[in-house]
Amino acid sequence: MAYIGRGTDKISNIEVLDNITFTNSAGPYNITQSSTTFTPISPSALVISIDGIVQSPSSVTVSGSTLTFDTSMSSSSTMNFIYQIGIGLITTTGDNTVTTAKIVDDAVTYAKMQDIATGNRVLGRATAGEVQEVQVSNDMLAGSIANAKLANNSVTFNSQTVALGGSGTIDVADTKPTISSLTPSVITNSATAVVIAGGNFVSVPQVEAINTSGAIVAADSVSFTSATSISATFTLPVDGTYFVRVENNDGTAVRTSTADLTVSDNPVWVTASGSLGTFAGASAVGTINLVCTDATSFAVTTGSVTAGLTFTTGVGTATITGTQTAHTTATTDSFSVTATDAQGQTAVRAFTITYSFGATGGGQFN
Amino acid sequence: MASTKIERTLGTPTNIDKWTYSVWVKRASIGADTAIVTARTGTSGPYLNLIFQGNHQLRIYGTDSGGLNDFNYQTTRLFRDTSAFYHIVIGFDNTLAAAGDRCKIYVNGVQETSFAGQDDPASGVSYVFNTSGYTTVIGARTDGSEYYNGVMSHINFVDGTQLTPSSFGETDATDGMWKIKTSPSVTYGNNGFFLKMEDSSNLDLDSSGNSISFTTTGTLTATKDNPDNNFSTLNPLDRRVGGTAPTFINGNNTWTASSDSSSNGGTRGTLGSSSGKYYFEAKATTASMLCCGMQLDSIATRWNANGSVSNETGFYGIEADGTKKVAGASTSSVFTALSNNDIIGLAFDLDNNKFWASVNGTWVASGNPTTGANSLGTLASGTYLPAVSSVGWSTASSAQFNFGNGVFGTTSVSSAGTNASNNGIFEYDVPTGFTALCTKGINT
Repeated sequence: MAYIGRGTDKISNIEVLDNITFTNSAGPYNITQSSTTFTPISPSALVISIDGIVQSPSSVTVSGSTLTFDTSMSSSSTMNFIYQIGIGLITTTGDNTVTTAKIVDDAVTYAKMQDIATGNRVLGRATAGEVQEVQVSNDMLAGSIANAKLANNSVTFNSQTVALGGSGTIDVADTKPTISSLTPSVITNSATAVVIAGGNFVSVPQVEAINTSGAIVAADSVSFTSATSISATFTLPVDGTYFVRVENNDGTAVRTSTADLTVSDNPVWVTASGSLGTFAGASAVGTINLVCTDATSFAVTTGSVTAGLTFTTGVGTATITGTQTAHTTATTDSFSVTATDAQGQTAVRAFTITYSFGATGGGQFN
Repeated sequence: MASTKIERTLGTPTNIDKWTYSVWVKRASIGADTAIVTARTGTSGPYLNLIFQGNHQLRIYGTDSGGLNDFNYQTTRLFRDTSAFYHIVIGFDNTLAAAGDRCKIYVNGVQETSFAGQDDPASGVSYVFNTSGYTTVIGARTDGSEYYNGVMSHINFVDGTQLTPSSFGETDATDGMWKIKTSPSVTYGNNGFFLKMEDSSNLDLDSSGNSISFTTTGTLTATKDNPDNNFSTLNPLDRRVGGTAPTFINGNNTWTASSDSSSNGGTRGTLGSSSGKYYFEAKATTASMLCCGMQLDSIATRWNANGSVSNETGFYGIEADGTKKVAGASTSSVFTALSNNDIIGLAFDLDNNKFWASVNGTWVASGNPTTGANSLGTLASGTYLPAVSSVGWSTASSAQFNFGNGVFGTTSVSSAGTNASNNGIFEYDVPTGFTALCTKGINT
C-alpha cells in the first residue's frame, strides 16, 4: 500500500539510505540517500541487513560517506536495507550558499544590520531588482546643503543673474525703445518711408532725423506696426548723414549710435533708354558709351550684351565695344544696365542694340 | 540680248486685292522696254506689267480680271542710271476709298507722285497679279519678250498687305542714304515669296518660309554686286559716241568693240576714286588691240580723235601688245603680248600714285603692289575711273571685266584668289592692302 506520511527516505528519526549493490569486494561503497551523498555519524549509527542478517557495526568501517566491510561482499549477496539512526552528520554551510529563500520574511532584525557611520552611503542595486525609495524628512537633515550642490544655484531678476549667497544690484525694469536697423538706410531727398526695426516701441512714437551738423528734422509721418517695427517717412532736403531718434510717449527714447541714415541723390542716367543704334552685324560697334551721373559702377542686370561684345564698367560711364558673334541675320537684342552710386543707390535703364546684315549678292539677268 | 526669267504660277491668294512687291534693281541696258515683273495667263488676256520703258520711265499698268478697267502709272522721272541700285516698291490695295492710294509706287523710299500718265485702279473690281492660276514672271513678259538686263536682288512679294518701303529699307542714320533691310519683318501670305538671290547654287530660292518653287530659264548668274555693296561696271553712258558703239552685256561687264574705223569703243567704269588702292581683272576674250587701265576723270579732251582712250594723257594701263601706257604714252614692251583669254590684273594705288599690271596672276616687270615695288609708272593726282578701249581703229577687241563680281561674262572665276578686304571675288590674289572698286571698298 501506499505510504502516507513522511518521505520514504525517512522513518521517524531514521534516515533510510539507498541499498548498496555488492561487487565481490569489501568496498569502499558510496553511501547515498536518494542518490545524494550521505555522510553517516558513525558505523554504530548504521543498521545494515544483508541477505536477511543484520550486520554487526564492527563489521564495517565508515570513512566520510563511504562504507567498507571487513570481508569481501559477494555480488550475489543482497542488501536488504541500510538505515541510519538519527540524522546524518551536519556540517558548516558553504560560503555564498544561503539563498533568500532560506531566510524567513521580515526575519532580519536591525541588530543584524551593520551600523551606518556618518559619511557612508547607502548603496542599492543598479540593475534589476527592487529599488527602495528613501525619503528624507527635514528632521533627518543635519546642518545645511551647500549652494553649489543645488541644481539652480542662482536667481535672475530683470535679466540680471545673482548667485545664491551672492550679492548684486537689481535695476528697476525699464521699457526704453531700441533701434536695430533702418531700411532703407540710404534715401533720396524726396519723401521716403524708412522702416525702423527695434523694440519697445509704443504706439505712436515720435521720430526725428538728426543731421550730423545738428539740424533736426521730424518725420513727416510715423506709422506703428508693432512693438518691434515702425515706419517713418522723411523728407530730407539736405544730403548728408543722419541719426534717427525714436521717443515713446512716456518719454523714453533712443537714438542710433551712429548716423545710419544717408540722404543722397540717385544716380541719373544721361544716355536715353531704348535703341543704342543699328550696327552692321559683321562689324565692330565702335565704342558705345552709357553715361550716368554719380554712378560709380555699372552692371548688366537683365539680359546680356550680345556675345562677342565687351561691357566695361566705369565711373560715370560704361562702355560696350567689340564685334558681335551671335547673329547672322537682323536682330535686336535687349538688356538693362543698373548704375550704382557710392551710396549703393541704383538706377536701371533698358537698352536695345540692333544688328543689320547687308546683302551679299544678287542675280545677274543675262 | 538678255533671255533670263524666273517664273511661277500662283495659288489661291490670301487677298487678291492687297499686295506689295519690293525689288532692288541695277539696270544694265537702257533704251528698250524691259520687264521687272509681269503676270498673265499665257500670252494674252488680263495682265499686269511693271517695266522700265524705252523712254526710261518706270511704268506699271494692267487690267482687272475681265480685261477691263485699265490702270496705268507712268512716272515722269527717268531711270537711266546704270551705276546704282534702285529700290522699287509697289503697294497695291484696291479696296481703299481714295483712288490715288490704291497703287503706290516708291523709289528709294520716296513715293512717286509725278506721273506722265496716270489712271487709277477702279474700285469694286479685282486686278490681276496676285491671282490664282496666273503666272508671275520676273525679268520678262509672259510671252518671252522685254527681257530684263541687269541685276536684281532681294525680291519680296507680300500677299495680303499693302506695305510701305520701310518694311524693306531704311534711311541710314549716318549718311542719310536709303539702304536695304535684308531681313524684312513681314507676313508673306499664301503667295508671298522672298528671293534674296544670294545663294549662288540656288538663286531662285524662296526664303519667305513658303518655300515656293520657281522655274528659271536663261542664264541667271550669281554676282557679288548687291544693294549693300555696289560694284563698278563699265558705263555705257560714258563712252566715245562716234562710230559704232561697243556692245555691253552681262551686266555691262562684257565689252566688245567693233571693227569700226571711226570708233575705238572707249568706255569707262561707273565707280572711281581719288584715293585708296584698287584691284580689278579683265579677261581678254579678244586680245587683239585691247587696252585696259584707269583714266583721270578730269581729262577734258576725253573721247577725242586721238584714236584711243589709251592715247589720252590721263590714261595709265597696258596694251595687248605688251607695252604699258603712262599718261597716254606708250613705252617699250614690258611683257609678252596678250593671248586671247589671258586674264589681266590691274592694281592702282591712288594713295601713292602708282600702278601695276599682271597677266594670268604674274605681275609684269617684277612689280609688287603689296610692297609698292616696281610700279609701271607714276600717276598724276586726281580721280580715276576704270577705262577700256581698242588701241587701233578698225580693230575689234573684247574683254570680260571682273570688278569683284566673281564672274567673267557668265562664268564664275575658276579659283578665287585671296582677298583680305572681303570685297568681291577675283580669279587671282588681291594684293595686300588693295580692294575692289565697290562702294564698301571706296569707303574703307
